[in-house]
Amino acid sequence: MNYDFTNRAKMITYVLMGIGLIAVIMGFVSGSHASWANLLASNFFFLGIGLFGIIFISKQYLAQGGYGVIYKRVPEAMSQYVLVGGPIMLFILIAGNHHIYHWMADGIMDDQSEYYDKIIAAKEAFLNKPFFYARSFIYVGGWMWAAYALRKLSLQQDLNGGIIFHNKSITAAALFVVFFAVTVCTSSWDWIMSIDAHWFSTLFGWYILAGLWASGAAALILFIVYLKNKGYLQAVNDNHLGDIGKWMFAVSLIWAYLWFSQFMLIWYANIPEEVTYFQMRIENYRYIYFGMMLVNFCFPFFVLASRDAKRNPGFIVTVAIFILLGHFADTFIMVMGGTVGAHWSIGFVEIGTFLGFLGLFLFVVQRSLAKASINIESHPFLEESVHLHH
Amino acid sequence: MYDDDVKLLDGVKALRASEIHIVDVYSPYPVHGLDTAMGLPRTRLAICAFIYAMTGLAAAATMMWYMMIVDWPMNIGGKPSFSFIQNLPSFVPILFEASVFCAAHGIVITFLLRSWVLPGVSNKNPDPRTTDDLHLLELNLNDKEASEALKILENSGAKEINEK
Repeated sequence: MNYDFTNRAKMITYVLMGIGLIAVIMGFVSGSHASWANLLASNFFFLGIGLFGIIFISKQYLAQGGYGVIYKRVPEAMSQYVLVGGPIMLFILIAGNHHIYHWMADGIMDDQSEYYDKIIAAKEAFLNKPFFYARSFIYVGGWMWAAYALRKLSLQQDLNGGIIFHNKSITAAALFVVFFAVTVCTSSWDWIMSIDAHWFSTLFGWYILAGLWASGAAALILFIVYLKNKGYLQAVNDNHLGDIGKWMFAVSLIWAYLWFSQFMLIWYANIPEEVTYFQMRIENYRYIYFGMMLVNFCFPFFVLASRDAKRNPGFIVTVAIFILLGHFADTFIMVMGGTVGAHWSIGFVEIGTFLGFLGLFLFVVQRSLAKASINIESHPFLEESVHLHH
Repeated sequence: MYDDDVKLLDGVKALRASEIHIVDVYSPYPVHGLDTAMGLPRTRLAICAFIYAMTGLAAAATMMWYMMIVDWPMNIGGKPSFSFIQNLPSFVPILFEASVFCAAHGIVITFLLRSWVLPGVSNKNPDPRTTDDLHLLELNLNDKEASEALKILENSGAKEINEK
């Protein structure tokens, strides 16, 4: 059974993309210098959810996990956003360059110039344009290859059965996991951390990873519950939902742990170079900064701690929506804090850009779901997954 | 006595279907689905864990508030030393550790007390072979049930049936 990408659903995604396009154009016409940062924040957020799709499939293959097989098409479809969001990311980086990245401005590394910045100039070996763009191309290229290869192997597995394509998928997944472990850190340094080029944090990569994992798990739950309500994926029951609920719960806690570890060490050491990052954000973004902490940590912690809550679609959908918004707020603050600082605002342009990327993401996922049978025909762990029981 | 967990599960289900009370089941390893088949209520240990963690959190907060703020305000690295809330980030690791400590020890002790496995307590296991490769189903029967239960046990493939 294929997912039916109805005209109504298509219309909704087109309208969302239209709103996004208008918002982006309005942003540039009004000359707001937050426009590029907006694009970066929204695209990075959805690219992260796409990457979660690849991680989820890879870890299932590598750990010989059986529980996620019956809804494997959903993370696969999510991973297809990497094929779209990756090139958009490269475009934003190339076209947005010094509008987003202060260190790319002319003369900043030239000691004759009036814009000379000694600290940034000392980082030239890593933060220079050729190396930066080469790295970005490698990250996006590697991720796109993994998204494409795992999807293709999975479809061939369905067609041919047997174990050959399964083993190939394991190899591809292993390659991706090793590559991703390094690139998720370096890409978050490059794309997000280097916005505040003076500031650095050694656990930033894990922090980003935990954030994208939590938002990805939340998106996965929303898709699965939606598809189940539409009459697809009928084999999915509370046991499966409980498992993804556990992911969302556990990863939210890891995220909070990393957030706090980063904050506490910097707060405690109180070095001017480091604390400005938090000072600026707490002064200018106070309510969304602490609000997002509440939504991303306390809310899932207290609501999802019990077993019954993780198995109740109503509960986990509510939490998932809040987590998605909370993690977007987190990405928004990370990007905006470094680019426009105190001059931020949330208006039509910001929300519109987010909705535009949401539309694009939903379009890509639904189109990918419609392309192949949503039920898995052949997989070594299919039986185990259907009879999952806790 | 069973030598196969599938047969054991069948036996348990059949006995429950004919409303014969099962005293206990002894097995060398956790049998999947046995607790639901026996109709055991879900464990309340998780609720205990939460309560213990909250106790630990409260105890640690009180301790640090009294030591570091009230009794002898400590100036460490120029951190605000007269306010608990402003100094909170440095207390969080201890609050966390104390919660984990209390929850972990609390649930282990609760478990040991509840199942009465303590030093010097003699074991209740009716047959030592259940610690090796056999499963044991313990029933306490009156004369009326006895014949029916015997039939069920034989049908489900029990390896050995002993009376005491």
